[in-house]
Amino acid sequence: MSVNLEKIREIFADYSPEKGNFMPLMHEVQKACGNWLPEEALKEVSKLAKMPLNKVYGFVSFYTMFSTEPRGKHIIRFCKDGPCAVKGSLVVAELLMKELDVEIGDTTEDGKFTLEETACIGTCTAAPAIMIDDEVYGNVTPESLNSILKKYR
Amino acid sequence: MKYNTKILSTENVLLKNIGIIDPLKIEEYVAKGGYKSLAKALKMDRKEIIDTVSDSGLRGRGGANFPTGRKWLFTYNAKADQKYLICNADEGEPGTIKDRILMEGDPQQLIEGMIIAAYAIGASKGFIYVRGEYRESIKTLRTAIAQAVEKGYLGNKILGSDFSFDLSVAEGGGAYVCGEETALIDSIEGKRGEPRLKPPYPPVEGLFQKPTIVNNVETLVNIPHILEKGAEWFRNIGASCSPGTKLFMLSGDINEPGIVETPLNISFTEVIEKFGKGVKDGEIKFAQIGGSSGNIFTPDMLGKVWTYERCCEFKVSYGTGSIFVCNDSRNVVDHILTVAEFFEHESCGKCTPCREGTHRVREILEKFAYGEGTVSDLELLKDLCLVMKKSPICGLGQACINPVLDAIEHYKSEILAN
Repeated sequence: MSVNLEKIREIFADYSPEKGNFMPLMHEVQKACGNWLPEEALKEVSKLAKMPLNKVYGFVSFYTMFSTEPRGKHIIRFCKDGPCAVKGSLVVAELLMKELDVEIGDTTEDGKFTLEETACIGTCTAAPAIMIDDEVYGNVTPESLNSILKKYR
Repeated sequence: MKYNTKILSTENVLLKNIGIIDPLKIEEYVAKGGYKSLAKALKMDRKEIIDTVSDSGLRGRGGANFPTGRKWLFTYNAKADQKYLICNADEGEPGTIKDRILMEGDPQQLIEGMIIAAYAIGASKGFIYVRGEYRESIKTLRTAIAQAVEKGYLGNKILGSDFSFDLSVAEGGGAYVCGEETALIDSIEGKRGEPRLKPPYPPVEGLFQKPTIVNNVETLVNIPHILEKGAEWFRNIGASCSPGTKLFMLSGDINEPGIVETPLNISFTEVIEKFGKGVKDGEIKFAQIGGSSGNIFTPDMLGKVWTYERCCEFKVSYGTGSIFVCNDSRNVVDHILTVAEFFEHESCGKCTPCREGTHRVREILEKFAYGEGTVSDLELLKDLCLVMKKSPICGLGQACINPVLDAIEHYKSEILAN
């Protein structure tokens, strides 16, 4: 897909280092680019923020929520840390891999979903938990998983 | 329910509004007595506020237990044209959900605490650094901040005083290490979140090289209550050396998972039995307290009351207050391998002992998980852990081997039997 440079300029109009808003704006840029950060987008950010491209790349490659590879329309994240692991998060992950026919980190053929692991999402008292885009789902069971996925198909 | 979490205690201070008021309506917080402490604080001398917090005995609730008043005093005394206050809401320790509940359930309580803290230390700009995965918290706080500005609690000349304070939400991007305060500061500055070499410490030289206080969410929400009811009231709650209430979170093999607010005069076994209705499907085998880098407590240890002093004596920590319960069907190697995988991923890679060490710890533990580990592997693992305890530059590397060392100490025969 082509990158909407105008949109990126609009987002970065509010940038200033003192505002400490590089990260929130990068989240917005990623959203505007379809859940990932193409090279052209990083080059534009580099110009707008007056930051060398290698620094921009160093930044996005450090944080797991950013991707420099294309991702699906919806990002499904499952937690596999202790509290979720003992409540069957791996069963949930396997079901997701089977249902979507992808490996962890991959995107479905139709470009709808990307499946990722995530660190704890603070839903440990309702484990296992998954997150789809901005929405968190707790106490996930094989049955509830299907009805959750239906909302996004 | 909305927060996916049950509040299991009934006599609450910090959690008292949660589930009762609408977090997106500032009027409801004010109707419950909110912002009275701010009005009181703005009429007080700055130093008097810091003395009140010092006298209360409040210690940081993010895990390090540093006396809050003393920390504030460093920044209060520092000479600078600009000072900052940062709320550390990069809650990433597995099993820990307290900050999320506090932010999403009663955001104005946190904002009020921050305004008072900022006034006391002389900061005119503040950030709440919320982890990127907490989308709901970020949205809630942004709405809450806008409402507080509209009502005159934030912004220029707050409540007619000479004090101005600007507060904004800074997001994380999915890096556990940013919970370390200097990594967090670098992250706000738009850099990779790699911990800085210390000293200088942030209260003297932090964000943009200016004096900066970084406090945990749970620490800051205590402030309005201490100002309202006084240092003595706080001191009289719970154990004398660890006053105030603490939030504990029950997860894992527990009948009633949820969040508990209690003074620190109760054993973890009591928390599990009284609030969590006991261990699910069997007897308790161990509990990990305070997140991934937290200590592993045996049933015997869980039966004790762990005040701050006692923790120091036995060199353990209750950290963030998460209680992750494992019953007797769980294998300790499986658990510490999960923890080791977590740290291998979350190590920032800046210093060698952590970058290499977390990788090797996971490798050796994997041998045990596959039944190939030997006595000499265990010796090597222990040596490696002891080196890692001393050499990395930040708390992540130094603490991540705590559960491994605990497991070797308490469950050695089980590891070798694997």
